[in-house]
Amino acid sequence: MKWLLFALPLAVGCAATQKQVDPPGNLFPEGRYSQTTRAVPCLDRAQSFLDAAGQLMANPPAPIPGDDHIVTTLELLDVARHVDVAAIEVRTHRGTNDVVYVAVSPLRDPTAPIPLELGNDPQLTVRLLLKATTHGGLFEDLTYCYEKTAYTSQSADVRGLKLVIDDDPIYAPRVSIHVEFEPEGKNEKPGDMPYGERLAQPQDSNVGEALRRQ
Amino acid sequence: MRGWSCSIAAVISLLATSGCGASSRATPTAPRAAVAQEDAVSAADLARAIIDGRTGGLFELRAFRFHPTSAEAIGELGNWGEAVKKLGFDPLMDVARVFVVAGHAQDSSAIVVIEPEVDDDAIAVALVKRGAKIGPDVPYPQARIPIRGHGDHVAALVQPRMLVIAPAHYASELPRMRVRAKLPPPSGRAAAQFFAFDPADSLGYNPRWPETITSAHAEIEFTSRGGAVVRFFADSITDAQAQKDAKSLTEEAHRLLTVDLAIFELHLLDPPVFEAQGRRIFMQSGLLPTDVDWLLRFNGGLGT
Repeated sequence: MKWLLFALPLAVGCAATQKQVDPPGNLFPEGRYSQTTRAVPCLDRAQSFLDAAGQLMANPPAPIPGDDHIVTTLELLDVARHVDVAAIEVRTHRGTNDVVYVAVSPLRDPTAPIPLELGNDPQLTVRLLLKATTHGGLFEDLTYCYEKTAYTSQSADVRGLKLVIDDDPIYAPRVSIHVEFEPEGKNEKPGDMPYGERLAQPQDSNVGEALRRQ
Repeated sequence: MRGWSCSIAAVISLLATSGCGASSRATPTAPRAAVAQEDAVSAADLARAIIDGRTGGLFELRAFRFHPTSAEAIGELGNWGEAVKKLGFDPLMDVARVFVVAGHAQDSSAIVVIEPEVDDDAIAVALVKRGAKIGPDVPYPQARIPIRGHGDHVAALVQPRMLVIAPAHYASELPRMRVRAKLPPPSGRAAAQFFAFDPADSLGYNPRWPETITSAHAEIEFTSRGGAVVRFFADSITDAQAQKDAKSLTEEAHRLLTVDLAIFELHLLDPPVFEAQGRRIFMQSGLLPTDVDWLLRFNGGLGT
């Protein structure tokens, strides 16, 4: 450590020969930090889901006149241990407003069963944001997410769908998602709440505030 | 392309595959308990998000001061060493900790978060000399610094005690670092920690990482006798797959540390053994002082 004692005076000497500049004033006139809060993991990747949620709240899908209002339930079956579902977006092709459901963790549980009215055109596109569940070391301070998309077209009388998130050792990133027909599907009666409002209803009352903060 | 590609890929790879006569059997290391976040978010994750980073490292510069050659190699990561020098500071003596993150080990672009040893006023003065402005309309001081062969970089004191260096085109993204944030805490006495998500894709091809490994982590701790301890863990997709991946990594370590002379194999170093517990794969190895010297010089040499 003795050489450090020699290095320090040298460094001081060099600094003394430099052109003097007055000490600066307030380096952070807008405050040391901004007021932004970031409760959402993988915020960079989640932003498009948050945007879609905001648009859905502002413009919920309108019921289609003459529709049968039969509800098909989409359930998530996550069997991949190395990922968590951070966000989900569901698009149907029944109306002009494609996006019918968005949930972003922790504002709303993205793994909750999703009631859908698929109508006579039961096409479905699901976009998932998956978050790696790695712990230890630097991973305690890092998040890592990526998107996967699944599409399905089922017969009109399907009442239950399962979205399966599975390990996939062949294709990177190593997760596959696919939609399975569920023969013992659940029949749900539409509730009193209009379909569009039911889908757009935030489960967490803080979602609006959280979205405004973004 | 130099520097970054060698270092992170090489360090994780070398740490993962290096061993020596003194190497011990893998001793599982329990994952560190979750760090209390208090009211601060992770500056490392903010930087990772800006560049969509999948690999990087956190360096405790004080631990490398006994080995200037390796410190020089670390300074080449993201070109932060040259940028700090152009600000008039010593990368080895005026920097306490550095976090470097990139999308891929082969990328020349990286985001560097520096915890300086010198005070903010001194950094601001240095930035002003480089053209930075300070005033009521300027949220924080920043300056452009040309890096030979790598274009302009931006150096920004985004918040107290946090200097960020990045390619100039990331300047507009740096305000995202202005939340109350801090770098991850040191891991015990580790001199450096390295991470990679999707190592098969983010670290390159040598060594060959199994596609089924989702993340890898390595850390190196220097011992008082000049040697080092290397601790490594990785996660596979399933418990069963982890057993296979541990075997693959052991074989790969054997391959890399072996010179096949057709007639016989010359073992350069005794390869370490990787063991699986659940879907986690562990390896711990000791390095003799000569091996540490070799490892650090080899790592630095790759960057030239």
